[in-house]
Amino acid sequence: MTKFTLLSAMLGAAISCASLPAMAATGVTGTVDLTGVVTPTCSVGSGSSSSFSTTIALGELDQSNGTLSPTLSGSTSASPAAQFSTQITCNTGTPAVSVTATELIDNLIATVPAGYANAVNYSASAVVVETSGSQTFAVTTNGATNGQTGPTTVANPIANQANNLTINAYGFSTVGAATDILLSSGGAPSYTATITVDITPS
Amino acid sequence: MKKTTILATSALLLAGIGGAASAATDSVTGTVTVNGSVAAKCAITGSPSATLEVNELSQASGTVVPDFNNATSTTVSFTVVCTSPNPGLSLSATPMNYAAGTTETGWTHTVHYTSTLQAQAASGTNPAPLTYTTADALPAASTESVGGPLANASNNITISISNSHTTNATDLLEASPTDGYTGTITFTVSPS
Repeated sequence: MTKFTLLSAMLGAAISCASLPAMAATGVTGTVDLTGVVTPTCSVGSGSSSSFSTTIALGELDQSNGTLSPTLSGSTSASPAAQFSTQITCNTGTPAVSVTATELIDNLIATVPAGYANAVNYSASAVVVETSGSQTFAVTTNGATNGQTGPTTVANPIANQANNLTINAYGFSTVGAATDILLSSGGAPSYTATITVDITPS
Repeated sequence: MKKTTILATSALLLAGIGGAASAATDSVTGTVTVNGSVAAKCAITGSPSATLEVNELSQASGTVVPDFNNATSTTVSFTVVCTSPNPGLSLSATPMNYAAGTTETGWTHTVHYTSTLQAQAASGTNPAPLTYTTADALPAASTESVGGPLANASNNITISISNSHTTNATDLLEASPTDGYTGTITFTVSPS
């Protein structure tokens, strides 16, 4: 009992000494290290969204004889039949671009007899404006086989400017023969295709 | 003791901030939907009209020949394209009439006949021939559907004439100038 009391008294004295102001001339040094991160990111426009979507209406696809409109079949990458531009913001040097395109098809038509078609192939491209030059990532559909390319890294950072991404559709051709008549399922815009562009920071 | 405590606290705070900011990389996905339409329509490639020259309508007895026997041709074909999967067909006709003729008992200036429309289907299984026979009181137009898309081929619609006759078989045909008797066959191919 006596021994325990003595130890407690000694500890109390030690604590009391430590809590006193420093008596010697030694100072205290505090160091605060600051670190930060810039997450690799690509976004649309000013950065508020990670996706965009739009619809381009081609209108009437056929000409008076029922075959594909020459306006569509004659369109080229330099003069596309459909075009959409937007701004992409990426904070990495060489983002990767992927493009996938599906055929333009009317799935309401279940049976397609000889001499007719319910689908149209085309080429789709994503043109990326970079800090130096631009790159085109193009695909062509082949019936039910999607056109696909990428992911492919761009050669230079994407230019920090408006409309640095342009998506085109051109070079349309009837799935089948050029003389095939495009079938109608009633006249609504029921022929539909999807072009998907993915841009991933890397 | 104090120095150690300050450093440890700072490290924890910064680690917490850094952990929150180092989320997975964000990518952009853009989707462009391209759509178009094909209106249901039908059109004739080439001229939408033709003439069948049936020449002499009467036989030696003065009554009508039984089957346009003197005709240069009794058939004519058209090429029709339709985007519709099952076009409708309609057929009607007016009798061959000599408009300047006068009617006397035992005479006539009207020749009736049967016109037939045969459509070719893409399936190869053609619809039944569509017929229309004129009469003094014209019947309603004959109609049917192709039953599938028209064949995407030339001359996929054929019109033929037959069965030339008069209301009274013994009536004599009134004489006319060349091509004085005229009638018109009208067919329609409609998208559905």
